Amino acid sequence: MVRLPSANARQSVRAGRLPWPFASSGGVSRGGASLCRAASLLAWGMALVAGCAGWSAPPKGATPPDAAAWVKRATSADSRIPYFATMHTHIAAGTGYTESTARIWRNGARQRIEYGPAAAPQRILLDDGAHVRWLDPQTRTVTLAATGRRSPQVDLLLKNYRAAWDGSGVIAGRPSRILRLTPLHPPGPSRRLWLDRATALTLRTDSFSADGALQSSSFALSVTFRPKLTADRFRVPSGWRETALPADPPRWTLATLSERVGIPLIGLARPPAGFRLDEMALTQTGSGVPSAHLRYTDGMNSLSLFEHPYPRAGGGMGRGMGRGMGRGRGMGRGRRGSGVSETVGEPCVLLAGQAGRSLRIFGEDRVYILVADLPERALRAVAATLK
Amino acid sequence: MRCDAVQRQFDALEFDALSASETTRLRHHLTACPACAAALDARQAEDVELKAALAAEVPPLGMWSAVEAAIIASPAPLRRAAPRSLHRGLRWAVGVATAAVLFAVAGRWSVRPPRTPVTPPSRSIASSPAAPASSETVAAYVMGAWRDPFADQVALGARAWAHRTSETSLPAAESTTGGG
Repeated sequence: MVRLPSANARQSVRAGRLPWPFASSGGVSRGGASLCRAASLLAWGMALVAGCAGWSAPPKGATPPDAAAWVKRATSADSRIPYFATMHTHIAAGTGYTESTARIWRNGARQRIEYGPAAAPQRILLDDGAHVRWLDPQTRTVTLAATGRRSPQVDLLLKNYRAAWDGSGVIAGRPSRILRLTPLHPPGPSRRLWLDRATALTLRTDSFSADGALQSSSFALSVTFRPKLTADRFRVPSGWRETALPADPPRWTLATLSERVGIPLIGLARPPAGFRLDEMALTQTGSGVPSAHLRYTDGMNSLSLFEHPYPRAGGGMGRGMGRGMGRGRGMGRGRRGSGVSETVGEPCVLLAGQAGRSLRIFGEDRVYILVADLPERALRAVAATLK
Repeated sequence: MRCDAVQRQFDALEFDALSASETTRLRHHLTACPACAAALDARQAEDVELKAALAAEVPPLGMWSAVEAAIIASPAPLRRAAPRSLHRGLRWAVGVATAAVLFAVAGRWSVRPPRTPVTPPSRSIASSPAAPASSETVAAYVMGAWRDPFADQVALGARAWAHRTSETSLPAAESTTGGG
């Protein structure tokens, strides 16, 4: 295995010192010492040549570093190393794409992302490790986005995806190793990552959907490690209006979430291979109906199951159980797995070509919405397990 | 310092993210390198122009409150983003379907009442295969991946914002694209 010269070794070279084992030792004869010095210089010269070759292109047959170990190192790099970066992102949208430039300040679990021109950012995102807040500079309002607070599930990712090296490159002037993550249970999304050789920070991410299409590509234009960071960067400026900021969300269980949403939640009896229930959350539909969000993940792909009762005629679900429950058509008649009615509605495909693909299924007392980056056939197979 | 490395640090310089020694080194290069100095000047001039142009576009105070109030006051189904022609077609179809159901129900009731009450699901949501999943749903799905390993947070943030703030930003043809 060819390794790059360590930072200490390079500093020693710059300082004109020879690191062990090339430094000559004392206690030998004058002739022996000269011989020793000549040998050590020769050896060091050879090592230097080998080192330079290692920087540009590893020789064929060299053992690459352990990709799985680098996956772990890379997932923690964000929180290990403070940095400031300018990123550019391209996102597939319909038949074209949109693009945006963002500046990121990162310090531990806290980060700030500013989208739009540097002179006047159009939107700002603050992440304190537990909550993400959207700041809208035009209205000076702040809203909360639900993200959960779990740590990245790297072991689950490695269980379901193969990590392999795919060459090397240079991003923002920094030598990088290219890592490819592909699903062990296809179909599923994949990633191509450019990891900084020195820090393992992800400098570029290409995300591919389950059908192989490039969904987004974000890459660093510049990166500054250990920048000067002030606490103000990660705070909501004073005078801004914060809306809908609830207290810490509770740890939902199926029982408590069922009670809150007003229907007995069913969930997926048989999630796709590799997926497991990650978390549950309370959200709401566009018309304000409480909806349960059950999120399953395989470490990279996520499958969301939303369940909500039908809205009450003429005005929302404000009082809880809603129409189905009130008239005895919901909970009373329901049994596990009986929620999908063949006659009420067939699943409809929504959001194809976007961040995921979605199916809406109309049950007797509720609407299910499935969203995942899976082909339509696979998503329909998941929908069938709801019957 | 190399010019490309210097110019990559302009963002950090602008946002005061460089350490004192880095700033000194960069300033030293700028005094000796007319090309980099010109690039920085051009960039700062662009920023000033852009800032002025964008400042002129700021909507009047209270505009968003008025828009927000209008959205909240309007019935939920009207907030769905769909092409105008689709809305018209839907309204026509729903009207015809409602009339047909009323006619049939009235006819049946004139003979005998149904044994069980008919409680159709909320048709405004249920009957349209082209109705997009709500923006809230999509944003919740997108942001659910925020803390996944190797989540592309820059792209996720941009995507979630688009879904959260503007339903019309969803392409209308999204329900017809083929699967993989």
